[in-house]
Amino acid sequence: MTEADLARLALAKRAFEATRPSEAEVATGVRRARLALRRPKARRTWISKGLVFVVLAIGSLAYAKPHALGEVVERVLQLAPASHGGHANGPGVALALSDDERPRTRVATPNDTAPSRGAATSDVTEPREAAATGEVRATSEAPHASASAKPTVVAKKAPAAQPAASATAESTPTTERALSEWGRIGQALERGDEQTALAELGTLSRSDDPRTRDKADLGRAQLLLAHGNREDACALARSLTHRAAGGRIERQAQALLSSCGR
Amino acid sequence: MDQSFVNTALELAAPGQPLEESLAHENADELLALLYRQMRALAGPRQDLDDLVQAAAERALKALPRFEGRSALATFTYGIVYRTLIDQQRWYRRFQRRFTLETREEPADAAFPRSSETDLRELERARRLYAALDQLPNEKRLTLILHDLEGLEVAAVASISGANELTVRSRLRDAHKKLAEILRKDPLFDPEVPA
Repeated sequence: MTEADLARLALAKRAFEATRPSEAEVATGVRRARLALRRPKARRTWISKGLVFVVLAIGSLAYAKPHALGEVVERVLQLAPASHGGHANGPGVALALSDDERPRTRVATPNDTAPSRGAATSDVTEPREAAATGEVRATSEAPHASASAKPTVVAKKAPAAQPAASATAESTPTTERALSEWGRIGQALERGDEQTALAELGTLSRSDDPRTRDKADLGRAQLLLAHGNREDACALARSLTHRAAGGRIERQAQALLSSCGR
Repeated sequence: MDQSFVNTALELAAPGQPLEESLAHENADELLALLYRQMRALAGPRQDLDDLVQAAAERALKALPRFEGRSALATFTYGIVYRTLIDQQRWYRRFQRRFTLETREEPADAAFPRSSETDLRELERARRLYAALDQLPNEKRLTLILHDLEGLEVAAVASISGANELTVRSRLRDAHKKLAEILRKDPLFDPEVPA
């Protein structure tokens, strides 16, 4: 910097000093600042707290039960169309695996059926649902509990209105066709005609729709296992896990498969 | 700088003490006045000066419990004022990328209540000085103001801006060069012209 530049800087400094705020101006500024700071602010800490809580909850759920999150999403997606005018009764029977959520149903295991093949009682609950889901609910009772020589398939009538039944009502022709086939399976099981039910399930397992196919195979596997046909049941369950059927179907197939390993 | 109220200022914001309680203290006014003067020096007379002072005061009252007395309180508060101003200018730069403010006539600056001709000349000179300073990058401008106009040592400026002393010197050199270029073109800053 030259001498002239230094002189200019000195002029600048003088101007700066000359325009320093007066006491009155400072007092006014302080008063304004005071008033503004006293004004309560809309604190929205609850938003961040809530966000942290939700993230932690979802994270914990995803960590503890990796499948559960998928199921929740799946259920929400299934319920969404239902809330938009899905049919509760009649033709709108769902193809959803809604039965799985009920703890009273369980898949038959070889331990249940092996000691006395005939003692196992396959209890297919709620045929409409079962038909809809394509699953055969084989609940085995204790070997000594039943004296029947042959496993009997007892079907109970489902309530007319099943909220979950309309969950994934689809109006495509394929689904309608599948629905009638599931209905036939339900009726066959109701009559105790397991051969027909198996045959119908076999037909469905050749369906174009992969989900219908998977459900049919799962139903066949469960029915076969209930009959003690463990090899075929396990082969079907293995096939289901290999093809990565996904979601609840795959989990049930894995449960069946774990029974096979024993 | 008078440091007599350092201890009382530290009592203003004990850890966990609400802002309202801190403000209820009598010495809060002294702290606010200090912040106002410092912000006014760094930012100049501008319309959003009150907002800047409020933002700085809020930060200062929260940060006071962390003040360990290793530097002067004025240096500590200058640091807060400096960061508040830099943050505001960064925000404003981002704001300007998306929005444009409607240009309107600026009201006569009430911050310069002068009457005599000499004062008016100083006033005009100060306006031009701030206009020239506005053309400098933020860090360089603030460094020049702190060192040359406020008369702080390089070490204090380094402490306030959180930069190395060499960086401060470098910023000062660049700021001097740029400011001299601008002021050379301004006849009001011609040292040959009698004041």
